[in-house]
This record gives sequence, C-alpha cells and structure tokens, in this order.
Amino acid sequence: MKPTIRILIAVAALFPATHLLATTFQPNNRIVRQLTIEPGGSVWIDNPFGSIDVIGGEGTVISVTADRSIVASDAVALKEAADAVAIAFDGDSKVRLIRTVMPALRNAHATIDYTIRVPKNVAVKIGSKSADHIRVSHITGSVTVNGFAGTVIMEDVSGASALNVVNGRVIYDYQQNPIAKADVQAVNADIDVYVPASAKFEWLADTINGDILTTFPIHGGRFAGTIFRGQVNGPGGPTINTATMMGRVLLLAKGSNPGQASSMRLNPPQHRPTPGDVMLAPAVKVQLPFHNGDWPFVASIADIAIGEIRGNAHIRIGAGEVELGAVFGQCTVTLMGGPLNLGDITGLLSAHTGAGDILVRAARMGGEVSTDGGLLRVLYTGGPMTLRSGGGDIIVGQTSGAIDAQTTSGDITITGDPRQRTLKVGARTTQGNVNLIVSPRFGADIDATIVTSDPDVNEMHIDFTGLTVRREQAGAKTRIHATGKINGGGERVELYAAEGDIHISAQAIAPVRLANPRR
Amino acid sequence: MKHLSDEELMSVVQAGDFSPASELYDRYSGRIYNFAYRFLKNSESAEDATQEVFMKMIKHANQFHGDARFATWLLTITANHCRDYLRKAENKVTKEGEDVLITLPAPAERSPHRNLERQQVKKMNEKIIQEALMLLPPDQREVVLLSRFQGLTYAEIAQVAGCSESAVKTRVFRAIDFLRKAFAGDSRGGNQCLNVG
Amino acid sequence: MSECGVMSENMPMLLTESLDPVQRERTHQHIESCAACASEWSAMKETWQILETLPTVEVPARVKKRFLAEISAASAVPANVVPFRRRSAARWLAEAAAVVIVGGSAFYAGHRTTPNVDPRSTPAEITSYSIAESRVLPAASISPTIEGRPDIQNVQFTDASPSNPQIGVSFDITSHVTVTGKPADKSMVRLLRYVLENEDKMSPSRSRAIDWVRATYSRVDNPDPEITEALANVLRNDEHQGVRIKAADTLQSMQSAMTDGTRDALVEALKNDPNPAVRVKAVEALAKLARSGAVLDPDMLDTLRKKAAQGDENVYVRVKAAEALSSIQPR
Repeated sequence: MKPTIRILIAVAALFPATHLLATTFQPNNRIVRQLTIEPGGSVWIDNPFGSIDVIGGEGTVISVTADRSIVASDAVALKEAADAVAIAFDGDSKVRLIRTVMPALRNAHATIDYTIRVPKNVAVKIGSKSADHIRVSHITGSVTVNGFAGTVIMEDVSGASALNVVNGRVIYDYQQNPIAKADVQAVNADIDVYVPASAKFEWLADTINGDILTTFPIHGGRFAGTIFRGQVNGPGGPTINTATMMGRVLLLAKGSNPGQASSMRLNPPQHRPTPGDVMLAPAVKVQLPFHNGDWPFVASIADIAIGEIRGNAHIRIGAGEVELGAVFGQCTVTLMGGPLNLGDITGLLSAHTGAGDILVRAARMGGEVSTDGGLLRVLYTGGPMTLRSGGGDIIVGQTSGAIDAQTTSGDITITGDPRQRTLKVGARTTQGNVNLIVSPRFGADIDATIVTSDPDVNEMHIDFTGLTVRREQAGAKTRIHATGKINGGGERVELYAAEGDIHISAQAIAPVRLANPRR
Repeated sequence: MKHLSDEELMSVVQAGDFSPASELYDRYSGRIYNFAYRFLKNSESAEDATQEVFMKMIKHANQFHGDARFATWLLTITANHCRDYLRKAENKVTKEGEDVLITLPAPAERSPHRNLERQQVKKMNEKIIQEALMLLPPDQREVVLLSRFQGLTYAEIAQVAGCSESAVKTRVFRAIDFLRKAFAGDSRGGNQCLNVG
Repeated sequence: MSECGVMSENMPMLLTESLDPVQRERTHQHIESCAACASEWSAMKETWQILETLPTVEVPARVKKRFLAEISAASAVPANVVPFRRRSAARWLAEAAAVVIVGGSAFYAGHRTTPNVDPRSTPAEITSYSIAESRVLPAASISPTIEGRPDIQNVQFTDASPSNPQIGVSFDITSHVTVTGKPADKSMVRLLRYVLENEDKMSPSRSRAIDWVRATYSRVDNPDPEITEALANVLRNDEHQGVRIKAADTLQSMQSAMTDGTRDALVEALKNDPNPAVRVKAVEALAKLARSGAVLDPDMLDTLRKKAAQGDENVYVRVKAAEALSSIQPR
C-alpha cells in the first residue's frame, strides 16, 4: 500500500514539470471502419499530420484503421483537442473520401496515422502536410500524392503516378518493369528509384542543385539545360520523370551496387556543351584562402569565398554568392542571380549579376559592372569603367578613369580622383539624383540636364563658376540645362537626372592609395 | 520665395516691401555671422555685427545695383562694419606690431593607433587653426576669411577690403606663411615664439 | 625676382584657382620640377586644407528674432492687404501646444498665401507672421491624425545624435516646419507614413525617406508596425524599381514589425514584380521569415513552391525560394 501511494505521489509531482510532454492515450483513440468501393473506384485521403499507409490487396472493401495521438500542454487543452480532432468519411462507393478534421488547436498538436487496405485496382489520392512517411504499396490504379514534408514510398505501384512534394525524400521501388508513367516534382527532396535491371523506359531527370546518378548504362543520354534525358534498355516504354530542384536523383538497377552509380553530370554519356550551358557541376560551396594560378569555374549553384586568386578568374554561376578577396589577373564573373563582393582586382574586371548587389573595392584597370537590379558600388577604379543597373543606386568611391554609369531608378554618386585634373564622365538616371564630387581644380566641359515635374524641388547645385543655366518648359516638365567650362575646361562631363537633383561639388578629397598587391 | 534670386528679392525690398528680409537672412546669416565671429573674435560682437549688417542691407538697399554679386556687396558691408568696430580704441585687443609670445600645442604626431588618435589629431588641428587665425593681424585675417571661407576671387576681395589686388595677394601669402609655421610646429615641439605683423 | 620667388607669389593664387591657364600650367610645372617649391606648395596646400577644418558656428536664433523685430518696427503694412482664412489642412499643426511664432506683419502675395492663425489668440488681434520662417514642433504635441491632405514639400531628415536622441522630420507646409521626437512617438510614425505613401511626385525623396527610416528604425526595438505597412504600400505601388528594391530591402531588416499586410506585399512582389532584384529581395525577406520560425500561410507556401519550380524564373530567386521552403515546418 505504502509504496503505491508513494509512486502515485511521485507521478503527480512530475506532471506539472513536464507539461509539454504530457501525452495521453484515451480509450477512444482508434477508429476502425470498413467502406465499400466499386472496382476501379477512387480513394482520397486528406490528412495534414501523420503517416499514411495504403496497401493494395485482393479484397473488395476498404478497411481503415486510424490511430490518433495528441500532445498537449495541459489537461484542458488535451480535452479540447480530443473533442475537436476527428475523421470525416464522405463520398460514395465510387469515390471514398477520408478526411482528418483538424481545427486550429491551442497548446496542442494532433497527428493521425492511417493504415488503409484497399483493393489493388483503386486509384489513390493523398494530401498531406507533414508525415513521417506516406507509403503506397501494391496498387495497379493511379496514385497521386501532394505532400510538404516527409518520405514518400511507392512500392510496387504499377499505375500511373504523380507526386508533388517539397521537403523530404521520395523512393520508388518497382517490383515489376514499369508500365505506366511516373512524374515526380520536388523542391528539396532526394529521389531514389529502384527498377528491375531489365526494365525499359525513358528517363528524365532534372535538378539544379544536385547530382544525377545511375547504375544503368545510358545510351543516347544528353542534357538540355538542366534536364537530362536518356533511354534505359532501348527506346520505348513509359516515361519516368524525376525532377527535384535542390535534391539529387538516383536511378538504381535492382541488384546493382549504389556505390557504383555514375554521375550523369560529371561523366555525361555524350555531352557537347552548348554555349548557354551553365549547369555542369552540381552545387558547391567553395572556400579557399588562396589559389595559385588561373581559376575557371562553372556551376549551377555555388557559394564561393576565395581570399586570393593568383591568376585570372573566370566564374560562371547560375545562382549563389561570390566573394573574392583579390584577383591578380583578369576577373570575369557572371551570375544569373546573387550578390557579388569583390576586393582588389588587378586586371580588367567584368562582373554581372542578373539580380543582386555588386560591391567592388578596387578595380585597378577598370572594366564593366552590371546588374539587372541592385546596388552597384565600386570604391575605387583605376581605369575606365562602365556601370549599369536595372534599378538601384550606383556609387563610385573614387575614379581616375572615365566613367559611364546608367541606372533606370536610383542615385548616381561619383567621386573623382583629386590627382586627375580632368575626367570623362557620363551619368544618367531616369529617376534619382546625380552627384559628382571633384577637387576644386577639376576642369571639364559640363553638360548637365535635369528633367523634372517639380522644378521647385529638383535643382542644380554647382560649386564652380562659369556655367550658364537655362530653364525651359517641355510639356508638363521643366528642363534645367547647365553648360559651360569649369577651370578652363577639359574632358566632357555629361550628367542627366530625371526627377532628381544634380550636384557638382568641389571638395578637398584625400586620394585613395592602393597597397601594392602581394605577389 | 525660395525660388527667387537674391537680386530679385532685393528689387522687392527696394520697392518698399520688406518681407524678403527673412529669406535673405536665412540665406546669408551663416556666412555673415561666421565671418564676423572669426574676424572680431567674439560672439557678442559678431551677433551685433550680424544684426547691424542685415539692417543696413534693408536701409541701404537702394545702394545695391546688381552689378556686383549680392554676396560680395553684403560682405563689403560686413567687412566695413567690422573694421570700423575694431578701429574704435576700446575694442582693440592687442596693439599691432608687437611681438607676442604664443603657446601653441605641438601638433600630434602620427601614431599606430589610428582611429582614436585621428580624432584627437583632428581636435588638435582645429584648436591650432582657431588660435593661429586669431593671431593674424586683422587685414591678413580678413583676406583669409574672405578667400577661404567666403569663396571670393581676389578681385572681389580687393573690392571688399578696399585695397589693390596685389595687396590682397601679399596679405594672403603672408597669412598662409604664418599659419603654416604655426602649424608645422618645431621638431622640438612645445612653445614657440613667432613674430606677428 | 628669382623664378622660385615668382612661383612662391603665385602659390596663393593657385590655391584659389585664380591664375590664368598659362600661368597655372607654368606654376605647376615649376612646382613639379623644383624640390624646394614642391615642399613649400605641399605645406601651403596642407595649411589651406586644414583651414577647412575650422568649424562653422551656428547663428544664435535670437539674432534673427531681434532682426525681424527691428524690421517690423521699421516697416509699414499696406492698407489694402487682407489676410486669408487659414486652410483646414494646416489646423493639424496649428493645434500644437508649442508653436513658436515670430512676429512680423508683412505678407507676401506669392503662390502660397495662407498665413496660420493661432487659435488661442483673441479674435480682435490676429497674430500673423512671415511665410518664410521656420517652426519646430515636438511630435508629442501634435495629433497623430493628419486631417485633410496637406501638401507637404521639400522633406528633410535629422538623425539622432549621442547628445540628442531626438530625430527630426522637416518639410514645407505653408511655412517650414520641423517635427522632432522619438522614433516610437505615434505622431512621428504617422508623419513618416504620410511622407512615404503620399508624396506623389517625390520619388527621389521617397528613396531618401526609406534610407532614413531604415537607418533610424533599425536601431529601435519593436518599431511601430505602421512603418512596415507604409513600406509595404511603397513596395506595392511605387513605379520606380529602385524605390521598390529599397522598400523590400528595408522590410527585410524590420522583421519584428511585420504584419500580415506586409507579408502579403512581399508575396505579391515575389509573384508579380517585373524587376528581378525586387523579387530577389522579396524572396530573401520571406526566407528570413521562414528561418525565424514564423508561421507562413498557404498562399505564401504555394507562391514559394511555384517559384521554386518555375523554369523561367531567375535561378537565384528559385534557389532562395527552395531554401525558404526547406526551413519551414508546417504546424
């Protein structure tokens, strides 16, 4: 007696402390149902949280077993959840719907695990948010799965199948040669397909960030962009499409050793690189303190951080971030998207990103820098430089070479090296200000234009004398045009700002001194 | 009123309407006050001077002909006022032509701890400049202020100061020479004895 | 005089660019070839440059007061000038408790002709003041509700400083006004929202406004969600992609103040904005949200999923969408 009481007391004392781990199995936690279904009918299962096992067999009815488990922080929440979470059975003998009723729960989380036996010729349709696993086995009808997270296993499914998953893993286990198409679309899932070695089918594999591996010998396989297409065991047969954006695809012949799978990317059967082809190596993360010699690099997705490239750099990436501390030669970087952070570039620079910011600390020989949208910042350029932004500010910290800068929307700020008595500058923005900062001795032929719909706000601020400023109306807009020579004249400086100000400021500027590049 | 030029505003004043006074004050008070402050070396006199100058701007508006820049005209008024002010015996601080013993802090040298020292160097420089400027004789101080801080050409300064252009150049030359010496300091550092005037 | 003597005399002129081109060239060439003159020139330049560090002193406000007082005593009011009724739009400011009105009795019949009337003054005497003066109002003293649609122009911003934690927003509305306060003052938030959303022609200053809002409010704990709402509206509506890019970028840095409305705006931008950089910033903001564990609604998930799979979308956007999805735990 006494020991029992003690134990009870102990349990009671524990309960408050572990409030988050309170799990209670209640007597009405399991539902078992049988439902009639016509041959060739459909079963639809909608269950946000919990595993789903659909097993095809020789029977003629649907047999559903659902186990519910609820985790709640206290007894009240537990009861609320238990009362609210239920299963709805709808439909008729042609189409059966099995639906988990799950309202928003307070302080509780519920999952229902289903095991459903069906006649093997039904069509199966599954919707899920998060499941430990979804398994469909021995089905000859069509199968559709829409999931977010979890492992999806297709075991001996000979009907057509379409899977759409986001995160997790997909496994196809064919026990016969496939006779119907399979279409897998995933975002962050790896796809493994196991097929009998004698199967004949067309294989499409598409991944940007992962590898494509197989133990089958593929003849006539080729890449078109990111999509690999090949025939297994000859032409004909269904199409198996395995597309996963960030995962990898593995096609294994049953009985073969996965370790022997060869990569279609690294050893493509017949690969002639096409000019636009960027996707050769799978996703990489490269971090090096330095690299001796030239560094050519192509990848579909890569994050690059290299301290020094002691040679020329040629980098082409689909998406990623590139950070180079110093390049002692020419530097060409092209990204379809992603930010660029470049340090000291000794040779000619050519940098482009489809979308993202570009920062260059020093482009000693100048070059060209462009983004289709983003901020361009070049702290120093020693040679002529072209800058283009599809939308965003352009800043040149100090330049001793000619500048040609254009942005469709943003400010342009250019500071001239005080050691240059004159510089050729072209700056044009169709929405924003243009600021040119030069030493008081700077000489140039100025042609500056503001086009504005508010002449009270947008003005020319010029620290130099010698310019004539004219205002004229052009329709609804005012055009302010300043021309003339400053300090006796020099190279041509053409500035254009729409809906913005133009500043030409004379300032004492400390010239940038570059360190000698270490060799 | 902001979009009207100085000359246009002055025409309004000349016609008897004093409402542009505030706008003109806003535009130029900074320059006038700073010039007077650096020239007269104390803030009270600078305040009086500023007020006087702007009142004269209104009272003698008809003397502005638009042939010179408004800024130059206003500065001429200011410089004249300040010079008159100093000429009055009771406003003199030191008699000109005397040797004056100055103690200037030695300029800070470069140091490995750049950021902190740079702030201190900056403060030190400011202090030296202010003191050195104050020690210049008025005519040299005037041209430095007009040239460096008011952006006038030597021709304009000659007009404002009421002397010849070559006199202006000489004064600038001497002023910079003095300031440079004050600034460069001695390698021995510490106190210096500089001949003023 | 020796060559060096002449060049020495030229140096002050060189400092102020007062030499003609021929002389300038000759002087420079001499300097470059003569060590003594070169060092003298560099010392002179250094001195000249250091002169610039002389700080500008602020004119005390009382000087202006005295000046304008003296003027008003000296001038006469033309008898045929009649004051206008005040515009209701300006009432919002006129009700402020701490309005500094400077005396002055002349009117200027320019394009803005409405003087403010102090409601607390007796009807018999109307205190009027010159249009071009400046007023400073504490945010706490003005009502957060902006009545009418006052036309505000020429917006400028003042940062907080270590010695003065107040921020300021100034603008012209009939006269020049500066509103000072703390970032959390509701009136300040409302005013900034008005600036961000309503300056129709003002896209350049809207861009500056966004920069300033970002700099100011990123240092504030729990910034007012109205600020992010305003930024979301800019993201939705501004026709200039540079401004939209900035708005999306700023939203990314103000996660804690995001509302459903701002999240929707980011999803919209990801779905539909024509500029890839805006889409990049939007997806980065959503990815950041996902990583921080915020609950994302089905529309957002769906958009991210579609974007990840969209073949013609910018690869970077696709990758970021996929990354965002991988860090989501559906509850």
